[in-house]
Amino acid sequence: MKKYIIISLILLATTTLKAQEGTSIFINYLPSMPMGGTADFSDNISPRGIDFEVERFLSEDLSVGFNIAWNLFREKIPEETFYHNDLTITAVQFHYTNIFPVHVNVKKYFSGQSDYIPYAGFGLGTSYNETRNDVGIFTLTEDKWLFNLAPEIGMLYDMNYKAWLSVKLKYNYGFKAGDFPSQSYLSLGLGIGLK
Amino acid sequence: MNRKYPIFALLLLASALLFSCHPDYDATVEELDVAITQYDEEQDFSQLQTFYLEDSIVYINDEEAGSSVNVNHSQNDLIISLVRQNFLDMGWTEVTGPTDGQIDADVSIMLSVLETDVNNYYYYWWDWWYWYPWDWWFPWYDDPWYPGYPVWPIFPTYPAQGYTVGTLFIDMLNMNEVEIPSDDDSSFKLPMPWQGAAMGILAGSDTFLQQRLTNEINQVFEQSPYLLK
Repeated sequence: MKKYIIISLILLATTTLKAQEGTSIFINYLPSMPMGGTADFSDNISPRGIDFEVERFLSEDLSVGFNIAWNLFREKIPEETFYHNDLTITAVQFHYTNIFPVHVNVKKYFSGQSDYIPYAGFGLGTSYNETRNDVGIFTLTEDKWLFNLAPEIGMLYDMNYKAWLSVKLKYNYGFKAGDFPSQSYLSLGLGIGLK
Repeated sequence: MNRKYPIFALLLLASALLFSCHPDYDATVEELDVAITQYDEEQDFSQLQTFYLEDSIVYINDEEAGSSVNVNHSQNDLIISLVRQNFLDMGWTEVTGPTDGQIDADVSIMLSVLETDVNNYYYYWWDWWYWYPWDWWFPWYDDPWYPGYPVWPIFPTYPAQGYTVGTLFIDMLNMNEVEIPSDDDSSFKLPMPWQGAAMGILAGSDTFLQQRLTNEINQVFEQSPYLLK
């Protein structure tokens, strides 16, 4: 349900937002490779990822912004025996990990005279993480908000006075909290932006 | 009006559709089968050598709630023979029936199948209590014996949801340590050193059901090596 709410909010935002002077909004397709704790639970490269970003340029080579993203990882585990509390269970498992990071970010641009503008950025914030294990008709779900950071490097292409094309590599890391393991993945972002 | 905004919104919509397209796996009936066991780690299973197995299966329904489903009973013989064979294969000795109205076995194996979804496990034990032939083990009880109070032992509860229609329970009762009070009180003791459950969707042909039942019942024992003699 949460994912539909977030998508709705994003859609609503795009119909009401007007690009401000010095402000750009981006949407990126975000296929991702799970790592660490995320890969331990759902170890498949995921084509399901998206992020939405608003950047305010403070100067030609510096921006601050807001980023909200969504990634879904999944893995089918062939029948195996595992343990849950004091139960021994043998079954096929279907693992799903949903991660919704929300970041404030800063980006430094290395702009020259070219239309290609490389940048490096760093995001800091939180993420809502939900792992779900479907066993037979049962569902074991755990969720947690994690402290989150996301360094990234990328490049903007200045298409015209209205739009950007963007490509980026973004690493997302959510810190372990309690028994909930750390979550991390590497994303390739391909998107467009409006100036 | 910036003409690119509708395009942008369309891209977002396309992304949303991308996510909503089958994010969940489509599981086959077989892939929903589950074998679950639990055992008492304090129990020394080498002390338990003989078992008694009822030649019947109790079907548990909930007439009051009206939610019961008629489960196929045609697999009773297969279920009983699979359970018996697994115990024999693991080196247990079967005590086949009451002698002089009594049974002398270390454990009694109880088989039951749910004909209703059970979200509260206690329902199951409440029903179970009525049919069990206590007089075979404790002949000083009148037959039929009516306890007049429920039994509330601590049993595993599967998180999130309860057991479902079609679930087969294989429960081991340690008869050496059962304590039944002569009056209504709360000192009743029902030690269950081992419990198994095989659950799955009741669908498909008899052959398909038999194959899945065989796999799941065998698996319940395979993942319980401590029962091996």
